[in-house]
Amino acid sequence: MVQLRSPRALQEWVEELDRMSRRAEWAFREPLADVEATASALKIQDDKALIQLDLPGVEPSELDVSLEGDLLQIKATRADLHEEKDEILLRERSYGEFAKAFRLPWPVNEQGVNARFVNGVLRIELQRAPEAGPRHIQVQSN
Amino acid sequence: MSTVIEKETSEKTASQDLKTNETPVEVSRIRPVTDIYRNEDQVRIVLDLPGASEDQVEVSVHDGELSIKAEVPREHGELRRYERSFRVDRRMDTAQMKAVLQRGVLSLSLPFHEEAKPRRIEVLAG
Repeated sequence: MVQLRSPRALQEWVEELDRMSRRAEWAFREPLADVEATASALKIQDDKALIQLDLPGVEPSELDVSLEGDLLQIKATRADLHEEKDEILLRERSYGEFAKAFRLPWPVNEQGVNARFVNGVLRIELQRAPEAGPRHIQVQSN
Repeated sequence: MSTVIEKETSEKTASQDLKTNETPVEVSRIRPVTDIYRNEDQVRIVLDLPGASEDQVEVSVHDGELSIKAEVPREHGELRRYERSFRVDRRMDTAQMKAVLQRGVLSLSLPFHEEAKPRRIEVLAG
């Protein structure tokens, strides 16, 4: 069956959807969430640290983790899912580049890092680099 | 309201978890951040559910209310409970809804019923 729609009918349809969006907005004000949705956790101990970062929707190829001494840097890019033909009814998620840096209380070497990215969560375990202890210097004499 | 009843049910599950687990469980309730897009064919609802795997996500439709829930155990005995509901227009075909979870992002595609889609009528010469 073929249906003919007048512009007016189409407008009603859009309004109907707007009403849905207003309902969604009203829903934000409900005190349901008690923590921020985008969260990072940092737990530092004497000789190890754990960093957990929510990066949902980030492709592994768009994720860059680097470590230099005691400075850990995380960079990521999240693609925009909005297509040109789409009308936006609600937009809360963020897009584009993201960067975060952590300065650790002690240096870490390459062997002391373990990073995993599972289900949109980045988890980095860091082990304190063994410190160069006091060295005895052989004093030469004639 | 059915939503309220559902919420109470999930609270009970949490208290059971607390009793059975030796380690204390800290339950965080999170309303996932969401995008909603619409085009001629469908409405797309995109929600961030970081850490969630397929078996932890529950999507249901009841009386025109779309409900998304996920329970995700996190570090240090934390249990994240993602929860969000939407009122769905009758013109959307919820039976044809598709849900895809990828890298902690849930995408729901809700097509419009065929009758609800705008159509171009071809005019034939008589």
